[in-house]
Order: sequence, then structure tokens, then C-alpha cells
Amino acid sequence: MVTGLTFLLIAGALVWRLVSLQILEPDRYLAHGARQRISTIELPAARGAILDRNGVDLALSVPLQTIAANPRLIEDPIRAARALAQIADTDVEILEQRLANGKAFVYVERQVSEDVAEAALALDLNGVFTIQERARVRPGEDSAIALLGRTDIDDTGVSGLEFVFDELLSGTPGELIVETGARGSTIPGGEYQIEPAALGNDLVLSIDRSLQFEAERLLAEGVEVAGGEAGILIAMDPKTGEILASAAVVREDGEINASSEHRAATWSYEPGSIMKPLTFSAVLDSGLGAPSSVREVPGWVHVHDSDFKDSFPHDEEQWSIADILHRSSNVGTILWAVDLGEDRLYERLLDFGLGRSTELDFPGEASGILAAVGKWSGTSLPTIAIGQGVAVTPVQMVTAFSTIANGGQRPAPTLILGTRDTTGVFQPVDRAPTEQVIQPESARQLLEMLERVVESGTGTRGQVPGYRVAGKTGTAWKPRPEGGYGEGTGNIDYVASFVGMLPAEDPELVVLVVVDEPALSTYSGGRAAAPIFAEFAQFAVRQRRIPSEAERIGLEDAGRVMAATPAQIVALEAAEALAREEAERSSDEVAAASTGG
Amino acid sequence: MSPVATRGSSSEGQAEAGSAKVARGTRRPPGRRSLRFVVLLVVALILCLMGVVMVLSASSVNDLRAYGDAWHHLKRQVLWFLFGLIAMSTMIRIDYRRLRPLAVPGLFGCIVLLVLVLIPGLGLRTNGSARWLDLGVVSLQPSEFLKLALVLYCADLLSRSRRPLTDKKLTLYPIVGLVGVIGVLLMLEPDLGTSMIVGAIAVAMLFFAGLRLRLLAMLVGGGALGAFGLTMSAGYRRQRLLGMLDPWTDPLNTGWQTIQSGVAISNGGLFGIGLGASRAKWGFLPFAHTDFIYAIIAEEFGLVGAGLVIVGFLVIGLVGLSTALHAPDPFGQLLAAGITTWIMIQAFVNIGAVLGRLPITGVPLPFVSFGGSALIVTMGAFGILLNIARQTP
Repeated sequence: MVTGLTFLLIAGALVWRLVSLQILEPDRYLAHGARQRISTIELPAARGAILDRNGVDLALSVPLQTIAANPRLIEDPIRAARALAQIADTDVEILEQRLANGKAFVYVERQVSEDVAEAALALDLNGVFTIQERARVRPGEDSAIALLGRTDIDDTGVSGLEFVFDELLSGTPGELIVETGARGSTIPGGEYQIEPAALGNDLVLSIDRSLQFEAERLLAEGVEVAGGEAGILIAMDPKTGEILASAAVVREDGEINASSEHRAATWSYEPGSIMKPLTFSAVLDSGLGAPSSVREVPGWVHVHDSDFKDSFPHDEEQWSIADILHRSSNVGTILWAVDLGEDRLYERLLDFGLGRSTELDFPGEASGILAAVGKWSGTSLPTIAIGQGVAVTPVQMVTAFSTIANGGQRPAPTLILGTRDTTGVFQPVDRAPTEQVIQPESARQLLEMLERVVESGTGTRGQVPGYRVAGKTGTAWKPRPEGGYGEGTGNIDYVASFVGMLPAEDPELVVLVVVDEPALSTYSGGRAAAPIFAEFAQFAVRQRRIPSEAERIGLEDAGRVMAATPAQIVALEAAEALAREEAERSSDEVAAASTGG
Repeated sequence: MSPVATRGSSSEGQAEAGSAKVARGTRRPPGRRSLRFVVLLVVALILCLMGVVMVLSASSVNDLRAYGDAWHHLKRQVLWFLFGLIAMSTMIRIDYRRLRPLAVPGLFGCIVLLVLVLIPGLGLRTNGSARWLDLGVVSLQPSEFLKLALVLYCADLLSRSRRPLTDKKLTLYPIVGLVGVIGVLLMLEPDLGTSMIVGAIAVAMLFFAGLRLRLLAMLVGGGALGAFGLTMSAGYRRQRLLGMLDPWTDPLNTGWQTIQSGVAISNGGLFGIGLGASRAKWGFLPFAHTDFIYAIIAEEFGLVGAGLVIVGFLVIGLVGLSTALHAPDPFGQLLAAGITTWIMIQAFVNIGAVLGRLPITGVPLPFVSFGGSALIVTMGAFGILLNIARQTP
């Protein structure tokens, strides 16, 4: 009896323990078990491509083989290292150390060609295997490299747009959740979930690869011809603010090379006379004068404690505003600027977006230098009005002229048209709003005056056959590191620039060319920069299918319209789809509301 | 009552003659198919078959890796089971009284084997202890045979006189002395689990024989003290004990087995995750097919399956005790009680360790765990119990 009871009691206690472990409080053990069995393996996501506005690849990821090894499985590290080093062309000693380090995973050589990978596998070494990695390839090689930026060997963006849009491009790594035994083998019938890697989205740029390539080529040639130290060319569609090409070259050891910096955004310079149309836009808007308003322009003018004169000697002349721009007269501009006053000039330059980084938001973008009006000295007004004592970036400047070209509406500069998801659906980016900076009438008047500059003024070398071109030259003194401009020593360095807009009657292309420190024989904007513009524009009008004047008149006469470019069609279709969707949604809402009611 | 039953449960001499005749003539076992016999047989066979299935389930993953043959342990267990069946049916057919002359030589033979185990070259050392005797083709675990021999010896000794415990010199002292010698030999292997079970069997037999409770308590207390002292004396045993008390302090070392066992059991839930689906056997739970097979049962069949195993053993325990109470003579009574208690103690010690309530001592679960000597001896011993059960009214 006693023994039987004892059996019952013990059995009861054991069953109670079972109940407690299996039903009442299994959580701690269950969690421990799951922790030791469930492993999560990351599945890397292929990085999205960077495309130009026509869908041409600028940068894309391609699969490459990487040779790796499990040193614990390597039987003879020294022999293996020797064999592998020959194939992969690596240092034997380093490889030996790696293969003998007792870890479970080492790289032998990353991202090798298919042949090398196969040769390594053909050695049939225990513990040596290949894995697939992805390498970034730019079909255009170093074209637009400063813009695109680079990725490191792990496919992470480290500079340029690769860096800015790293998250978008890199996608989401997938996960393989798998239940494994203590020795790492997968348990059949165990937990197995696969969350495939979400490929990175593609980034569609506003850049046109052909324009970019040509810009780089022509700029390098032009800077070489002008004997310059560096150069920048930036082309914008003034109606949208889309940057079509952005090239930068620098002279290194006497050779002109593509700059590794996106200098159109990161470099600031004193623009010089190219600033004058901006000053006059305020004069026109304020009603102080019209293009035909004439005033006496003497050979020099004294403001505060300084004398200002023109680049060419002249007697006192009766010049209209158009004449002043045509001749790029400093004295005339300063006289009007004094009438305009500091505040109105400052406000206007702020409206153009000077003194702050643009909507481009490029990494390392400069904001230029525009002192707050309260801190202006007595000579600030006259110098800023003619583009000295103020620093701008090429992006700011091309945007300012796009404002003039676009009826006074300042477009937000952008490099990005949108993104393309893995299913190929294009999603346009939200555009920063345009701002009316100049009254449309003033903008039209400025364009007309600037057309005369190219027709017969300082910018005649910027003419493009068959097209009406408006433009402005700039020849700025470059500030010296020790202060001042070196005018006393006669050691003056220049920054020559030219901005051109075409067709002048309704510009579709604005191009700014800046040549840093051109040789003294060609130091002016008209000589150093305008020819580069002209050559580029001749290519660009064909590529962009901008009709020549004659063509335009003919088309209009026949009542026909220009064929749209593929990018325009894509954008149009996207816009239509969006509109349709919205219409459907609102009709759904209406339906919902009516049924609800 | 059938004539067979009458014959089986009459006097000693008759029964002996009867069984002898039956054994020689029709080869029918003595007695009749009593309810106790049927229940005990069915439950034991169910447990054995469950063991065969679970040995396969628990060992195949590791076998495929280690031996390249998923059936490695299963083949052996099936073979042991067949030998076990032969042993069991043989013992059913031999009247238990005829075993009496074997009691003394059996025990001393086993003690000799225990000594041989300790001799290097003869003894097979695995997992840090020498428990097996290497016979070339097979290896033998003398401690398993010893348990049966001890039960037989105690039953014989304690049932010789009408008042067995009046003369301590002839009863208590020899048993205590022999158990002491056996304990020392077992601890030299070392095998604390078996020594404790041997001690417990001896105490239980003395209890059934009617030893005064005061003496019994002294024995139990002394044994417990000794066990505790031995536990604390050896580092690994102390760690196992501490590992049982709080496995989470060192989950990767001393707590490993207890925790992995707990993980497996908890994983089972109410109905289990299904035959063959155990996760613990994937290299997490050591000795999954031997000492910890109960954890795999709990994982694959849940509370229901694991509970039924306990119920099964409980049935064996209660029916075994009932057999002892109704056995035809004191020898049979003590033999039945001893065998029953042995199986029960061993089952409880094993399950208790798997459930993290007793220290892990490496004791197999009777009928179920993988192991040749253990299974054959247990089934053989159970055959004796069945033989007695056939001779109860």
C-alpha cells in the first residue's frame, strides 16, 4: 500500500513537472530553443542602376565571382595559398596567413572574372568556393563620375549620387530564415521562410548621356585651347530646371582631366559681368528704367572711396540699358545700381537663389558668398552689381539665367527625374516649386537685350548657326589668396564665363561655360568660354531636337508640332497615368460617399 | 478457476513438479493467463516497441552523419529486442522457484564481472567510465545483470526463514555488506546512478521483508549521506547537481543537458510536434537515444504521449506490487516486489533527470532506452515477474 502510494505520488509529481514544462510555462525553454535553431541569413539585394533621362545606363551592378575559403577545411594552407595566388594574382604570404587563421570564412580574392573563378574551383581544393558578388560598372567609364559618385567594394555608395541615394539604390536585403541543427545542417520540415531581397530601385537622372559625354569632351578641348586651369560646363532645361549635362575638368600636371568633384555645385567663383543682367532685372522690375532708357555714362565713376571704369576707354556717352549690356559697361551698370539701392539689389539676388545652396542638395554643395545687406561696405553695391565681391556656384548662375529664359519663373535645379521600381514603373520625383522672380515682361526684355550681346556685342563667338542665341559674357578678376585681385602688381588671374540661351525666342537650353584662369591671350569670357558654348550648343540642338529658327517657322506655318523625345513621352504617360489614377480615386470616393450616404 | 490455475497456485512442490512437467512436455509456461500477466505483458511490450521506434527517431539523424547509416542504432535495438523477447519468454516458461539455486552464484558471478570491468583491456571505457566488458563481438554491461542478481539474492536470503530479520548476522549484515562491496566496485567505474539504484533496491527489499523502520531509516539516511558525499567529492558530479538546480547559470556547460532536455520537452506542448519531427535530436540533446529518449518522446508526442509513458510505468508498478501481494510464497513475493521496484526506481530516476528534477546519472529508461544489456536483462527480469503473475489467483 505504502509503496503503491509512493509510486502514485512520484508519478504525479513527474506528470505535474511535465504539465509545467509543456503547458504552463514553456516560454523560456521555447525561446532558448528557437534562438539556437533559427538562423537568419541575409540575402544581399542587387543595387539599382543609375540611368540617364533616356533610360541609358550610367551605372549598373553586374554579378561577379568572388573566391572565398573556409580555412578550417583547408588541409594544407601553404600549398593552397601557392596555387590560389598564381590564379588570383595575389600575394602568397598574405594569402597563406589568411588561409591558416582558423576562421570559418575568408576572402581569397574579391570580384574576379569568370575565368579566374573557374580556375580556382578547378584546383578542387577542400574549403575553397566561390560566391556571387556584385560590382558597379559605369559603361561611360569616368564620364559623369563626379556626379554619379562611387561605391565601395561592398556596393555601398560613398560619394556623389551613389551616396545621396544609397538607400534607394541598395534596396532591401532579403532574409532566409532557416532552422538548423547544432552542426549547421538545415532541419527538413523545420522553419523555412524566404523573404527575397528587394532589388534596389533605379535612379533616373535628368542627365543626357550623349550631352554629358560631349560636354566633357568639348570642355576639355576648349579649356586646353584657352590655356585654362579648369573648366565647368552646365546645361539646363530652363523650363524644368533639369540639368542635362554637368561637366568639370581640371588641369593636373599639365593635363586636362575630368574632375572628381561635381564642381558645378561645389565650386564658387566671382562671376563678373555675367552678373549684370541680374542687376538690370531688378532695375526693369522696379520701374526705374526700360531697355531704351538712356543715361549719361562717363568714362569712370566714383563710389564711396573707389573709382570704377570700363574695360575699354570711352568718353561720356548717351547709352540705353540695352547699350550698357551690349557693351558690358561697368560704369553704366553701377550708375543704375546706385539708383536701385542696396536693399533692392540684395533682395533680387536672394530671389535668384544666390548665397545659399540650391534645391539640388548635392553633397558638398557650396552656397557661394553673398554678404547680408547690413554688412555691406560702401563699395559692396557697385562691385556686387558687376559681379565682383560676390561668389556664386555655376548651378546658381545657370539657374538664374534659366529664370530669365523661362519668363521670370525660377525653376528649381534638379538632377533627378524620378525613380524606377523593380517592375519598371517610373515614379517622378516631387519637384520643388518654381518661383516668379522677374516679371515676365522684364524677362522678355532682358532676353532681347542679351540676344543683341551675341549678335553684335561681347558674345559673338557664342553664335550658333540657324538659331537665335541670347547670352552674356563674364570676365572676372579672380581674388588672390593673399587678398585683393593683384591689380597693383599686374598679376591678375581671370575667370572667364559665358552663358547662352537658345532659341532666344523661347529658350529650351541654357548653358553656362566657365573657364578658370585662361591664358592672357584669351582671358575674356567672349574668347575663352563662348566658343565652347557654341560647339556644345550645336551638338545639343540636334540631340535635344530643338528646331532651328527656320524649322520652327516652317512647322508653325504648316500647323505641325515637333515630335516629342522618348523622355517626354515617358513623362507624359506617367503624368497621364497619375491623372487617371487620381480621377479613379476621386470617383471611388464619390461612390463610397454616395453609398455611405 | 481452471485446473491450470489451481495447479500453479497450490503448494511449492506441486507447482515445481507441474511447471517442470509443463516445461518438458507441452512447453507451456506454468500458471495461467491472469489479468495481471496480460496487463503487465501488454504494457511492457508497448513500451518496448515504443522504444524501438523512438530509438530510430532519436538516432537516425546522428547515425547518418556518424556512421553513414540512418538505421545503425535501430538495427541493433531490434536485435536486442528480439534477444529480450527470447529472454522474457524463457523466463516466463521457467518457474521462478527454480531460479532460487542461482541466487548466490549469480550475484557472486556478477561481482566478479564487475571486477573484470575495472581491468584495463577487458573493460571498455566510454564517456569517461568503464562500464562495459568487451567480448569482441558484443560488449556486456555487468551492472545490468547485477541488479537482477541482487534482487534474486535478496529475495532468496530474506525468504529463507519464517522471521527473516531476527538474525541480523544472517540477513541484514550480508546484504548491507554486499551492497557496500558492489557500491565500491560501481563507484570505481564510476557509476553513481547504478550504485544508487542498487542501494535503493536493497533497501526496498529489506522494507518488503519487514525490516524495522528505525533500521531502515538509518540505512536510507546513511546511503543518502554517502551519495551526497560522493556527489560533492567529484567535480563533475557536483557540477551536474548544480546544473540541475539552476541550469541557466551555465547554459553551455553544466546546464547544457538539462536545458536542451527542457527545450525538447517544452517544444512538445500538449500533443507533440509529431513522430520524427524532434529538433533536439539535431545535435542539441546528447544521448538522445539512450538516457534522454524520454525528452524526445515528450517533444514528439507532447504531454499526452509523455504522460502515457508515466501511466504505463505506474501500471507496471501497481500491477507488479499487486502480483507481489498475491504471489504464492514469500520468495515470489519478494522477487516480484524487487523486480517491480527496480524497474520503477530506474524509470523514475531517468524521467526525473530528463525533467530536470534529479541529477543526471546516466540511467537508462527501462524497455525504452537504447542498450543491449539493459534491455535484455530488464525483459528477462520482467519475464520472471510475468511468471509470478501467472501464478497469482
